[in-house]
Amino acid sequence: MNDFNRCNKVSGVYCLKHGISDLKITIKLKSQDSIISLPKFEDYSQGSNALKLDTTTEEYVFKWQEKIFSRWEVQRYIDEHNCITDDELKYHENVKNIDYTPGKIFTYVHEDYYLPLPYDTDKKSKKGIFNLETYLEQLNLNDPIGRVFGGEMISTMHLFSSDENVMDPVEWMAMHVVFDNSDYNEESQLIYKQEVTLLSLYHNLTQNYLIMTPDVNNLELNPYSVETPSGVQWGYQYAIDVEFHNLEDGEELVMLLNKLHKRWDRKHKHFVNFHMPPPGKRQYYVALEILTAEGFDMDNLYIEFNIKVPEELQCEDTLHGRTHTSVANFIDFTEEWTFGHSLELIIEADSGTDPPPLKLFFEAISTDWWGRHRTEGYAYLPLPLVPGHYTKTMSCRRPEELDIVTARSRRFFLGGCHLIKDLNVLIDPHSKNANFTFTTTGTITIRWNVISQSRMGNIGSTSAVSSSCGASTASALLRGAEAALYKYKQARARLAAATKQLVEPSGDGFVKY
Amino acid sequence: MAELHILGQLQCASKFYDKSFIFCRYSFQAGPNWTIVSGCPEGQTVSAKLDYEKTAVWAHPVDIHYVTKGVQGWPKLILQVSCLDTIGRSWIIGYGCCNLPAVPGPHTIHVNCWVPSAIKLTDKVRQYFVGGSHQLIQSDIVNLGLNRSKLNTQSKGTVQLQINLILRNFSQFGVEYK
Repeated sequence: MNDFNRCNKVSGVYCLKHGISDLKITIKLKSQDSIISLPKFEDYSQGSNALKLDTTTEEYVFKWQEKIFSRWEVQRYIDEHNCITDDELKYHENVKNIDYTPGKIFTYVHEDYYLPLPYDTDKKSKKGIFNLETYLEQLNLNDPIGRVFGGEMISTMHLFSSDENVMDPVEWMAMHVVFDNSDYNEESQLIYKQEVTLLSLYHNLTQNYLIMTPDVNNLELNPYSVETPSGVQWGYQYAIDVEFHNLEDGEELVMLLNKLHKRWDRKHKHFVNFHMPPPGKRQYYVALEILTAEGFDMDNLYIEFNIKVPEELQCEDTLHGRTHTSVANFIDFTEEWTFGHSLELIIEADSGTDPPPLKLFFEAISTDWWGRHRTEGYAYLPLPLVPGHYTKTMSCRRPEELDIVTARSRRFFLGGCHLIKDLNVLIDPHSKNANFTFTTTGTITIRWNVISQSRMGNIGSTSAVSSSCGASTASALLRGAEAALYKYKQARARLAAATKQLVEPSGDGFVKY
Repeated sequence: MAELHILGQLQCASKFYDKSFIFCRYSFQAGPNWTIVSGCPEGQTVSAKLDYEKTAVWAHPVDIHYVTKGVQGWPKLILQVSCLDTIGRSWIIGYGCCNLPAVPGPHTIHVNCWVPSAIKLTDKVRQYFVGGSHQLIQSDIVNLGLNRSKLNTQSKGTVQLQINLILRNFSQFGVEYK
């Protein structure tokens, strides 16, 4: 437990959103509450009897790379003869110009080079254990291997050397906050140098993150003690606080709120923007299902469908297809083929016109074990584009020869029937000069949904829908009323514009006509 | 934004003659315009035993609330009926799909099911004596209206769905549904 308390210093890593120039470091220092810090008897022998501990907290605030001089540094840099380098001469100017009173805490900045960086890349690249080139150099193997592989131009040599060069050189900048416990004589000459690092800050310039050793803490709950690396305590406790970006409180809140509003607005638009058809157009959404077939003579049945869209309508979906081949299910001595084949059509029409019905042609086809496909029947359905949910069972028929003997023989020996090349004959059988009759076969059951959509405020489309539906719905009425109101407002605006010049008063107070 | 409430139940399955216990996995699927506000769009019914009329009653409740920004991709129900034999084995005995009606109010929908049939004689014999069935690798073919003429199937029974539909705000966007 004692070790744990002593090792409460942990490092913290901070990703910086902004530059580090606004960094503000605060060190709070107070003397440790121990028996050493108790007041001496002599101090209170003549005063009051109240026992007062010296628990005042000193606060030191630093900026990033702000140089604070210690007492011995002041003594050193004040003499120009001690200053050789440019940095030392700069420090000399600073100390000379400013009346400096050194405190307990001072800083080492990056130019001082007193303490090492956390990650010395040059050191690693030179002394890394996995550095193959170093080993080759040490073993004098570089040249023989180079000769074997044909020199540095070949890719194998790049392969050997590439592992070391993957990582870019990392640039660091350091700053250290140090507690000065050195002994000085009366003339401020350094007798015995004693200092300990309170806080080390390493800024990675490449990745823009900051390592703090130790991390931010609380003076009351988790104070750090000022101690040497060997664990000798110097009777002080300290706490660290860091402020990264010097934003005003309200400014950050406004930024956050703006971001939140933008995100909300985007999400709101995403939901509210209802997909509408283009202006002047009405869209029909048709969901068609081929459900079952019943009553056909042959098994292994599939349905081939063909949808003809009138010229007035536009549809880009697949209009031709086949269901799967189905083997009948015997239910109460009747055969039923189930398909459940669904298809969706999006049809666009001009608003204000009654859309003509779609022409749906169905062909029931059976397959035998030889793989022959034989038509069992045709069906035709004009599908009106009226909104609603419908189910329809269609009777199928197949063309048969006029001679019944020929027809039966063909059916018995060959199977199938005459194929209809032009399916329009199903719409109007009298239009074609056909020398065959139709025989009823089985039934096909289909189910469909129709939904229509148009832009609001269109009187023409509303009337069209009302006429096509046969019964006006509440929404259609509402839309009609809104459209009428809109038209009324437009007419009123036109009237106002037309009569504006007529009733404009002249300068003499009379109205011009 | 328009809303659609689907309330009801997967009532029963009928005409599945060959098995004694059957259950059903269901999934409501809708287009990208549709978002589920509440309710679970997928689930599985209990395993029910066929009665003397060869009907297995599940009465599995369904309660889903959609919001949508377009009528395209109206929700569909996709079914996968499986059987459970006496030694705990299960296999699929029916696929089915139906479009949900767009008319508000109560509806009773019969979903016709089918299953890929065995072509080879050995498969047929094995399925007859041992059990098991062919399954679809890509089950999207059930609900997509693609050309599937090369798929040989066996017709199966029907699943009955009883639902009540409530539509809201569709009229505001010029949608006519009845």
